[in-house]
Amino acid sequence: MTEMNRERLDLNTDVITVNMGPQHPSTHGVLRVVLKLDGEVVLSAVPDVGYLHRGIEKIAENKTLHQVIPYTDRMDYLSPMSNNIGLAMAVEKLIGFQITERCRVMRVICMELARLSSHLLWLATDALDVGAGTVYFYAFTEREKIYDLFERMSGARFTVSYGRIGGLARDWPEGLEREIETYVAQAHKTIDECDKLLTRNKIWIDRNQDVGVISAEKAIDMGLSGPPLRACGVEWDLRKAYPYLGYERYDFEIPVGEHGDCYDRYLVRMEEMRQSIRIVQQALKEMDRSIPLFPEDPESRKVFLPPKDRVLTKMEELIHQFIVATEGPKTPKGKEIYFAIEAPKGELGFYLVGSGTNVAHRCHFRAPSYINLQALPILLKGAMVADCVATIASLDPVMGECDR
Amino acid sequence: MADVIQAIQSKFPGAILEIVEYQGERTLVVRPGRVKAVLGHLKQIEGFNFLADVSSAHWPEEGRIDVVYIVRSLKSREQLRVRTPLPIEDPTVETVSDLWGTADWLEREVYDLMGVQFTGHADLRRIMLPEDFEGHPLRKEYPMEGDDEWRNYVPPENRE
Repeated sequence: MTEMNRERLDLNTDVITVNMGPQHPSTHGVLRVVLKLDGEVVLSAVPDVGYLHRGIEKIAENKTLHQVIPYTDRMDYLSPMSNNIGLAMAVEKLIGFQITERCRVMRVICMELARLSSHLLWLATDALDVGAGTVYFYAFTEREKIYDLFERMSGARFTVSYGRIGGLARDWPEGLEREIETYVAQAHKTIDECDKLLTRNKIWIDRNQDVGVISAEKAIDMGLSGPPLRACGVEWDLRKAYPYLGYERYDFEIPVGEHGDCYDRYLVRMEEMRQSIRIVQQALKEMDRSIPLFPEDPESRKVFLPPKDRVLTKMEELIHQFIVATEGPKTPKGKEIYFAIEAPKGELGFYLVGSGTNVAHRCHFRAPSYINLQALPILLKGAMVADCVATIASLDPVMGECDR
Repeated sequence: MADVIQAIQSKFPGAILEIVEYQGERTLVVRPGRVKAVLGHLKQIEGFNFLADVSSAHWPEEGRIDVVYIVRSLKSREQLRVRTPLPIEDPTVETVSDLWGTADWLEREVYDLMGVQFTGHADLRRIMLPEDFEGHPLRKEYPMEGDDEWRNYVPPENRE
């Protein structure tokens, strides 16, 4: 193309259509963007999603609520902890179930660690996409340590399925609090190192500043949530707006940007990681092993799956295991709830409608990646081709969640 | 919140069919013909500037499809759900994509998976499924697997 142009005297270019994706490595999954280009300038960008549609909502409406949990892992597979704990909390809201105080604290720690691991992956891939390869190795090394902790909790590193309706899959092993404490005490080191590598780096600033800009009004109109919304200067975080799991007790700040460009989204996420570390440290202080993980009243015991070690030794727990696994909690017929958590990518909402049985009549997931991606044409208008990659990376979409 | 509902009731008499409260959440069940007007009022007058979600639910026994809008004011932090029951023979409702940009893809998703028509939508195409796909999978009569359609479906209460 360039050779051809050079030979032409007038240097005019035709408008060409370029298909970016679905196999493009820097589109973070199977995202396809149809670009109309005038030379290097993007005239229009049309995202095409749905390549990873697996019908999770349909499956969820045909399985018992406990059986849905592993499917939620496969939505935002970079922070499965937030997904399945979020679903568990939505179901608890629908059936009106109260979890114990210790479970609340443990869930906060799990979800903040998930945010940390998700943002570290974003940092690694975002930097890699604009050519800063070193950051990738720093961030991934750090992320592996969080996966080690998840492995100690749940036995799995990636798709953890650790959340359970009424509690968590199992209690933490002895001494895990200390391991998490040791981890978070040094977690800021990698973030600081990457900060030093990038924040004042000339190339990084050139590639990110004033790229992919969206105004606050437009961002609200397009329903952006999470870091892309906060980067526009809108102070909106569901952990503060509608506190759940006792988030109102923790002392943390909502970082907001100013310009709504890629650079501000980067700054917001970097600060969010530091705030997550703060929350984990505070939550660890509240962790009290003398409080039981599961509630002990007889009505509640018909909802959650009892701990496995007790199932194998106690008659009562064995009966409960049988009842809960075969029937499970009944959802109230025709009642509906919407419950949203601040997932690493944005507002992850669950719209559940009860059916009167142990299967949800309707199970809709409001996926932040899906709605954030919708703003892509606005962000990319008039940008250069190379900016597309930086802009998509700064939105941090996960196609598993977008397409469901 | 109470004055918001009162304002709607006086401005659009008969539009609200029912007000449901459950778990501290409020749902307005609105007549299909008036839903766009009510949502426009909520956005422009009452300041519900954020459309969090558009969803739907199919009720085969009642012969209706519900379309559900979750609107929110980022300023006052109020949240409200507007639900409108559409007849299964002709599930058609006016688009709100001109009120909130978010509604564009959300309505396309509802159209694709549930088969609700949104009149006035600028680009009502399938989004998750291929263009030549037949049927709308989130309808309850759509089977979970196999090509023997409409016969495998067993309602939850009849399952063993």
